[in-house]
Amino acid sequence: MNAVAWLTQLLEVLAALILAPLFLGWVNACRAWLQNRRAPSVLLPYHGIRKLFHKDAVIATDASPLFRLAPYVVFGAMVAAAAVIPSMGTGLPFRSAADAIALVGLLAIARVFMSLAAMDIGTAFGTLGARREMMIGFLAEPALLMVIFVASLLSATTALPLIAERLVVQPLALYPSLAFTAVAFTMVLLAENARIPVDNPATHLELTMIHEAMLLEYSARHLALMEWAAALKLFNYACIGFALFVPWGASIGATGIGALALSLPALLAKLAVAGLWLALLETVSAKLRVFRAPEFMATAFMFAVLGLLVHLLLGA
Amino acid sequence: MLKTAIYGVLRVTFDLIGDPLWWWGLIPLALGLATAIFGVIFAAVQTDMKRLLAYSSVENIGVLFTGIGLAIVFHGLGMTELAALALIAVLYHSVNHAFMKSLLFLGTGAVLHATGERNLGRLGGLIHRMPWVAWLTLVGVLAIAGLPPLNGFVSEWLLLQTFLFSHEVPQPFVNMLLPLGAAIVALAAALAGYVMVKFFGIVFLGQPRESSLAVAHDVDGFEKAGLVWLAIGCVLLGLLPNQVIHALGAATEQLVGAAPNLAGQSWWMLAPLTERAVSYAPLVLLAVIVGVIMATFLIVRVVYRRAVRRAPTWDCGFGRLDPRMQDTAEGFGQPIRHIFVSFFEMERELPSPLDQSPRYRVKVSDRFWKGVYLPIAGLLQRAANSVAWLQQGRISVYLTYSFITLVLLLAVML
Repeated sequence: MNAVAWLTQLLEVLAALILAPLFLGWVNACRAWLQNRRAPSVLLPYHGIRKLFHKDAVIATDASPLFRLAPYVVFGAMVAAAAVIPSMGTGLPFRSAADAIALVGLLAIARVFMSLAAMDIGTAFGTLGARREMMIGFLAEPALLMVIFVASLLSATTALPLIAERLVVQPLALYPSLAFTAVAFTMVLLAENARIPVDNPATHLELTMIHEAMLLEYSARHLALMEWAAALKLFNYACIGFALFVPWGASIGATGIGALALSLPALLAKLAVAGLWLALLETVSAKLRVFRAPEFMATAFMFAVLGLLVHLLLGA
Repeated sequence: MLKTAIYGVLRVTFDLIGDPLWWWGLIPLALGLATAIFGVIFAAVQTDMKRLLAYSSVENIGVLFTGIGLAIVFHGLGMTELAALALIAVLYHSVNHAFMKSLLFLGTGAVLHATGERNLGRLGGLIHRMPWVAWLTLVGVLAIAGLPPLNGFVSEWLLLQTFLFSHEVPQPFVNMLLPLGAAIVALAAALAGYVMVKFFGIVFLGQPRESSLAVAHDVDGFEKAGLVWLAIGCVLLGLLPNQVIHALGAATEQLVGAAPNLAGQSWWMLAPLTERAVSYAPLVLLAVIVGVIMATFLIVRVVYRRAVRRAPTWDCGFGRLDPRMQDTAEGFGQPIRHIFVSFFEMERELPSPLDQSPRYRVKVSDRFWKGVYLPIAGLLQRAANSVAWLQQGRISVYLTYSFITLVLLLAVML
């Protein structure tokens, strides 16, 4: 392990922590523009998190220690996930700690703790959110795993940095199987990050909430950590997508400082395009009823399976 | 107890029969996958703690049989290393399940002892009354939900890695269908997470649903020790996979003639497939997560020194919250009933809007119980009835039976 690798690792985690709220702000701003509204500042999520950290926390009398622990665990799992996703470079020292399957496990830790915390106080909305979140989770996980399977069949490994590396190193070619799985992955991303059409991040109606319903009882620093973790989750998913489908731009292997310096603008450019694309998808689709979500996720799963079959039949 | 069957199946297939044909493996594989899905879906709609855990065991046995099926397929086709890996996954999961499920059953036993209640709908909020049981059960819950860095994840990871190789099986069509099995395993694992959140959330979190729960007491002394060592087992089995696999390797060596080669690897990193360059290091993962949690906690404490105030539950300004408004076990299982409706047989009594004293009743039953087990039991009963006249209760008659048997046997042998 050389110094550059550790520098990449450090920069990558810092970039995730710093860029995640910006990415969220960018998606929200794009969405506002596309809907002919005046956009809020792209820096708004930072202000929100800063404001929350400077407030006194209010915790329900019925809350157990689990309720106060959960934001830290959720945040910790998301940062750990950011540390193993090759967003800027693939020569990460932590890359051998977790492959893509373990990454899915890390995301599941966050989901389970968030749901448990939502059930802790025993409000109707909290349990409703927890139940729906777990439902979306179990529907999305097989689809996500099939996506990872197809990518790992192409590159003969489940280690995310190696998947990215091999895609870059191979001569440029069109992989029809990846096209199908990219569609599936986008659908999983929308569902898992509480975006339209599965959940509406801007909703004020408690009965239609999923993600927000779980956070209703949180305040101040705990809420700030939960919000930051949610932004990190969106960022992480975007970076998983980049590693699986468009790894170009990230520094490959143990290269020098130059490639690392180039990888930041590349990441920013990819995030800008991805944010615009997400906002576009959210603008042109309508929110589904909660029980249409299984159909949505089943479609995602079928796309991933199609990708798998295409790969096995055509070998590409 | 359940794993005795696994032991028997392994010994019979690999020891007594010796060289199983590859396609035999497809039968336990298909049965295992079906069992896993059925088990976990039924676990999700249970309202009784012990029945929920029992159905979860059904799921785990299904997962184990899936692994056995894969091992037979690989072994029959001469892919010895992969067969060994699949078997390792099976044996590892058996050990894990023994620890996790014992922990959960002891936890429910403690709850039953303290409250006299097995019905999820009458429990709740026990984390305040029984913190030891609650936090130790949480370890079991996270482990069985397959979350890293605990033990349930390791065996799941191994099984999924084995599945990834199944496209190399040199049989057309089979190599395309086998990877789909991985998706079913993933679905079962994700549903197990759902079931366990339901189990823990309803028993230990929220507000107590009955006033009688206020007298519930925590475990003491030996009861605590019984839970603690199982929880430690779950954690250690999760953190030190290499050592466990090394120990299990002796068994796979005997059964399929190979064991995963872990020589020359770091003791803290699991990398059983050198050619795939995949690895999993639970200790590093745990260190990173714990490190981030501690750092965040310290920064929040030192930089933003803000107070914490306790206040009544907000609940969007709704002032009359009571424990009956939380999700019941039925309520939490409702999405599963809705999505997998064809799996269940439901009797429902829905109130009409004009009803003065509305009642809602739903009874969910297992199609297999009526469709498979009861007919088999009936058949056995009828067969037993039809030979019952043989039992006369007189020693002379029985002596005659022995005599006739002897004569018949002699006639056959001679």
